[in-house]
Amino acid sequence: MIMEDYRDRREFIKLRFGVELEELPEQVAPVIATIPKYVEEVKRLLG
Amino acid sequence: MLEDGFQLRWGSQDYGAIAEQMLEARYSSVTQQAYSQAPVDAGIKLAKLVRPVLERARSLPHSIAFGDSHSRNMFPLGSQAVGMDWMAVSSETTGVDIGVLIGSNLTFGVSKAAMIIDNEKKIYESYAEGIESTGSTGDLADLRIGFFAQFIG
Repeated sequence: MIMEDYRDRREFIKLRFGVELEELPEQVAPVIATIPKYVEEVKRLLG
Repeated sequence: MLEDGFQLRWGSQDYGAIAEQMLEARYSSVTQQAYSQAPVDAGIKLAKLVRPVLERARSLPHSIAFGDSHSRNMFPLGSQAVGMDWMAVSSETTGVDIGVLIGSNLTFGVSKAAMIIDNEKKIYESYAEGIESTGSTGDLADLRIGFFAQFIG
């Protein structure tokens, strides 16, 4: 994943996510941190 | 009436390819920052679970669903909620609507995403209580799979 590929979407990202492009990965980290618990729950549900 | 719209929405995605892309990008600085609090493997595992969830959800009980119940289509009116834009009304696995309502906030900005992650359990439980209050005797595990059929897509 190359950040440069998303330069032309800078304005869209700022509008959509409310943060600068460069800040996005760090800002979404706490949300991504919840993925493991959902993976475990889905696995349990699927049996 | 449309049936299984969520299957159309997410079933056409190639989650195997998405998982491969994540694997290839695992050492990039962007991925390392985004996954600084969780292993990249977790994202890959989640991507690989989408199709099995969709397959299970297809066979579960269905009900009439709003279909596009994201939070910008829902407005509080006193103690009730009013929904607008009913064009996507469809027959869906029960639980899909709450998956849209909660999951949509993950795409409406970082602050909304953080809010919804903090409150996902509370909002989901309120929905499940509402379903039970209608007299539904359905399996709550099935309801949760309906939720995930949208939420993890």
